[in-house]
Amino acid sequence: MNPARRFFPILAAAALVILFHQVSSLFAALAGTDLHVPASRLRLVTGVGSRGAAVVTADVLLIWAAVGLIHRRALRALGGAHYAAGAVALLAAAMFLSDAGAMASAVGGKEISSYRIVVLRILLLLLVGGAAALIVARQLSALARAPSPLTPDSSSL
Amino acid sequence: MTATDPRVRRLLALLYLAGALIAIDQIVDLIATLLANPVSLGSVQWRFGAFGLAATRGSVLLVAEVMLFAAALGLEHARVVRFLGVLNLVLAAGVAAWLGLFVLDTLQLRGAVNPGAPRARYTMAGVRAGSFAGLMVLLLGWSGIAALRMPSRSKRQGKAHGAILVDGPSVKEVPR
Repeated sequence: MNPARRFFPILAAAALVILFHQVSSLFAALAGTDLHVPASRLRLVTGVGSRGAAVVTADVLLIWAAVGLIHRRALRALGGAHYAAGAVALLAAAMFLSDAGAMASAVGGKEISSYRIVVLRILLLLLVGGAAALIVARQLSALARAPSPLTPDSSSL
Repeated sequence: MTATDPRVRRLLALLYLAGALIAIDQIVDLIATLLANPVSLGSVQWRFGAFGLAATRGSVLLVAEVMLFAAALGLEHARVVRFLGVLNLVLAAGVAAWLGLFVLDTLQLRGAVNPGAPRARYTMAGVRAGSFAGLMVLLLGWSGIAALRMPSRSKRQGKAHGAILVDGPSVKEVPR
């Protein structure tokens, strides 16, 4: 086996550990959130936004490992997870916009401009992230269905 | 475009720099945060907080580690892969020892918390940090062993491969 190929399962495991870490933090934040209160929901979504970089990195590592190993089941599962994540992100964007609008009247003075920037940043993250997740999901599903190519290992003499 | 392409090799070499930069930045930031308040190794609360703080940096340090491994494997630097393997095993042993102490600290702290205080909050924070550290130990150990088991290519590295000649049913390697 090519030494680099042995690295892919470890890469996938590292990505899963990072995801576990981020998701456990999210659940801890969720436990202290009253979802009936718009300000509470707003704080939760902002918290998710701040974890975006780590989640995206873990996602890239996971896709890299699945593509490198040409693991069809993993590609299909990742495709499904990305469809779900994309739909949730777009739905969250609509809810976030509604909550941010309701909260805007409570923010006054000089704080309104920084509030708008934060709202815009999170909204962009959710919209772009959601759309990207749906595109990636389509690509991953197509890769999972594609005919099996000759891998470097299988073509060895 | 392959890993033998000089442009790709230069980009891969940059991964060493990026990985090292991220790791150093995180470690220095962690030390600075810990030193911002008086260090009291004798205090259970301080040790509990320090472990939790270190655990929150774990994700980013893992990303740095992946970058270093990817660069070493892509550039076929067998010695660096072995060095990273040894480093990971040493880190796995260190984190495992620290995790053991953390479990004892968590139990001691849980017993010391006032009955009126939300005890579950401490327990959950401890379980989260502990389980993450446990996964880190497994991952570091696995990657360390895998790196040390990787075949060393030093014997063949300097020698160029000959061209493959297919002559009827036979396949030969023709020296260059």
